[in-house]
Amino acid sequence: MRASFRERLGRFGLLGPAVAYVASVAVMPVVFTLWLSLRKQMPIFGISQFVGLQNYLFLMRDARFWGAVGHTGYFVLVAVTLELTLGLAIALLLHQKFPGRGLARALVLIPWAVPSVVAARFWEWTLNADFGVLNFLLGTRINWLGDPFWAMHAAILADVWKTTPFMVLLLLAGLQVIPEHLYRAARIDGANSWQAFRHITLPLLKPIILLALLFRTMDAARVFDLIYVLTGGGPGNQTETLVIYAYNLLYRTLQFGYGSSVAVATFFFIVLLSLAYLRELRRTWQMRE
Amino acid sequence: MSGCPRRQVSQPDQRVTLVFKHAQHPRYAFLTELIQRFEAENPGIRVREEILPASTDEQHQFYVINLAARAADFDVLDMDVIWVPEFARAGWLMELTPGVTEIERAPLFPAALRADWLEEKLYAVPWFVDAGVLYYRKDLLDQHGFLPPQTYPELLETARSILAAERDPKLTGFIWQGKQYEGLVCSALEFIRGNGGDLLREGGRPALTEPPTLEALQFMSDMVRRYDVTPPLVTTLNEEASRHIFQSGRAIFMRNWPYAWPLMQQPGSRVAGRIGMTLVPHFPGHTSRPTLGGFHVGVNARSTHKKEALAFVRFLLRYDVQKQILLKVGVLPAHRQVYDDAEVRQKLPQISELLRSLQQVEPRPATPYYMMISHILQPELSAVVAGIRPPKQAMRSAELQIEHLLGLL
Amino acid sequence: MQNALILRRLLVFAALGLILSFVLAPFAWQVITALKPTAQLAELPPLLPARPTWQNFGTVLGAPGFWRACVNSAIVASLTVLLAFALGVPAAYALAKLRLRGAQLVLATLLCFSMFPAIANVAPLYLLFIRLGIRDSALAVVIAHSVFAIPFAIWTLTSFFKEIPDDLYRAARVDGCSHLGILRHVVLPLASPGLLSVGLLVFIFSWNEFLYALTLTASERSRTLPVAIALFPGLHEIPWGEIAAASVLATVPTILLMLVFQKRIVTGLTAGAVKG
Repeated sequence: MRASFRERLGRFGLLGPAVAYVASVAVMPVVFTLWLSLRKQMPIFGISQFVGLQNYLFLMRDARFWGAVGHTGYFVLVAVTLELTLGLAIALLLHQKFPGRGLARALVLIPWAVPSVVAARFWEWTLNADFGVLNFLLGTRINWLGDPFWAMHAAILADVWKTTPFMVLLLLAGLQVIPEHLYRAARIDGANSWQAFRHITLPLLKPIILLALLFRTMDAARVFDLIYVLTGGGPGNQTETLVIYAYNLLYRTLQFGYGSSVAVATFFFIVLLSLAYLRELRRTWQMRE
Repeated sequence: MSGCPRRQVSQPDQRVTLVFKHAQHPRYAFLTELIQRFEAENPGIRVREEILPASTDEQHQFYVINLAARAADFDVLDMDVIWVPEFARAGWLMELTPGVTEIERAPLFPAALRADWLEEKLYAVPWFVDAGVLYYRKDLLDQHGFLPPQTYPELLETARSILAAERDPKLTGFIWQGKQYEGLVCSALEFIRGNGGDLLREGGRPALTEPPTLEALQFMSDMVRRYDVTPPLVTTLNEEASRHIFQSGRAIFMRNWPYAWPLMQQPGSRVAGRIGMTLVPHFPGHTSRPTLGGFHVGVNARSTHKKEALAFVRFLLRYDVQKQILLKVGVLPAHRQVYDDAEVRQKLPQISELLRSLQQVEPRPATPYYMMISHILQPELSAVVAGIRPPKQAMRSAELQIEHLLGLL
Repeated sequence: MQNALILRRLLVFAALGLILSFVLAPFAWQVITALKPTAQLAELPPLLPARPTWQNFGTVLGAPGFWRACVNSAIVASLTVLLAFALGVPAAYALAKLRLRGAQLVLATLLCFSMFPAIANVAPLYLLFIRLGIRDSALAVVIAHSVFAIPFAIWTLTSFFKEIPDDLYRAARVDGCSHLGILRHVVLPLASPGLLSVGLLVFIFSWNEFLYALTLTASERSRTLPVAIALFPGLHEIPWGEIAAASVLATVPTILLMLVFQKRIVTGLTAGAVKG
């Protein structure tokens, strides 16, 4: 049935404002950055010229860039996996009925409530090998932020602490939408908790899981504040991520052209990662219809 | 002394408002007092302070975005010394000569002024300076019969002996700033230059793979890995973290800036009254070369109140104002004669030690490329300190990158 | 049967205890640090200060601009949430319930745009706002925040709206209900857990956001809380105690919000059960 004109106008009115708003504010900076990435732009030296894809060609051979890709990829993989697993476990736990549940739910969200720059400063303080409280409690002298191996994992630890509540909140809301009677029916049929989880909870939670993964992956790929404060990208650049590299190029060395191309490359990296989730999400929604 | 403050030609109650952008300091309420004095002396001018975040990276970011966009909403800017050549070259700063006269410039530390000149023109002036110093635990040195070391090998021996005698697992020998940031370059330069090496040669080309530089870096790495005098966690230390370790009594020697001295001497500090401060060491046959820090003031090239801004800059350079900057605000002034002032010497007995450092201070290369060089150098230096790459390999890599960069320009 | 129940309860509490310690320990450490006198900050042992001091909290609460920053943060975050809902709810409804060709593609594209690394966006956006004359205003920050918040709200709410059975929707349409009517009477009540979650997440995101807030504001007039904390004095010296106190204080409002709203999320579920 073809929708009537009034109907289509109605739909336009529903979607239009959001699209127009985001388009007008978000698109301009992106286009500007894309334009910059095709130039050699170094205001200090008065250099401002169009160089086409030269920046991107150099990017392909830039070892520091590929190092950043590797570090970012590793960070995203480990951090998001941990956050999802932990987040799901906590959400399942908080879905149970027990006294004090409300308070527990509010408390679990505290790390998300702390501003990230403050959290980063604090983890820097806590992870200090000499006077940090973590080594004190564990009785060790691990060089968390200064050892080439531990540094990235310490950053992951801080990130997992900070963003698991985000996962918990989304997953919890998703859990609450699953009808109770499905579980009752399953129990009557003799299913145990694990089977109920596998065949009822997980499938029904899938869209929310994919959504949460999508957002967390996009955020993790753009990680900046946390690592910048903790290690500055070190030691020896072992924790330099794509956004840190772009930031250094743009604001430390004022290479606006090349820095923009790294930002654009980061963006494509994120899009690639997200596409996988988006496709799966779309498939899931389509199956429902 | 400079002449009378210039009067506005326009109506007396039409005041010009200058915007002074600067970062906050713990005792900057006293800076506000000085500004009020300036306003009292210059009735036609009002100065509005706008505060920037404490992180120098964020300050740099702010200036870059605004100056590149030719913003004119601030007049006087407070800059880290390493940004001045860059901003000057980009044409973002107003020329200060001949506004700031020869007489006003003469008493300032020449090493600090080096960054302010570009092609025979002056673009900024230092209003406070900083120099790396060596802190030591006087009580431990006295107890074990050592004098403050003058060379790095002496420091090494002293530290090792004391560590062996004290047998305290929590005590370390020598800490400095080894995190991957600008502070690492400052610390490393003191080793490198203390051995007669440097970052750049006369023509501006990198000198990183020359033997004195490599030796110095090898020594830095050996301190951590071979002699166990510097802990591996040095790769996480910035100024505050190293101060906390030293202040808690867990280090014999510390390289840091002078700001730490009053903090460590205050009541409640574990090391109050038990520390000393001296020149950073050198290697035998060479001289100590502390790294220069500090902040400079300049005028926005797009300012619409250039005359008034210049008046304010010159005010900050005055002897009496510089003296208050030392006594009240608590940073080291750029005016040399303040250090000989009787009242200053009486109130701050350690000032003569600081003056020694300032007289031998060496700035980082005063080139517009410095930020880029530092950006390349920091990870390589960090790799050396963390033991990821040997000095030769790291410096070769840095040199290649710098050559490539210079070739691009 | 009884024993199994007790065992289950015990396990739940044990797991809860473990999780809460992981989650709360750093925050507790912040509180402890805020209570330590300055000279003792880096000393371990002792873990707890022998003589806790309220001085840091006092300094922060008395600092000029701190309360103003709190108010600004509250305003910016609330406006961001409002804007996200005003634009996002209708759009999510359209995506979830109406069959629209290409709409998903458009929204996926918008989501991508909002995911561009902020450090690259911040400068052009700042320059644009200077031209528009709204630099150093809460409005500028709200605009920047909502660019991320709206796509996030749309995508998440779409997922929640899709949970609502189609027959309810179709029945209402047959009854002659307009889209807005359906939204008001059917969709919003049933999806309130999702709405509250999204609202809370957006509020907290905006409350804590730093980079745009830092770049787009210049004075006390519009400065938000994270930026105010970043302006704590210190060239080399960093007042850890005060920063700890400020961060504890900055977190309290969001905790309170969560305490209040998470109860609503629960009642939202039991009251508006999807089936029945």
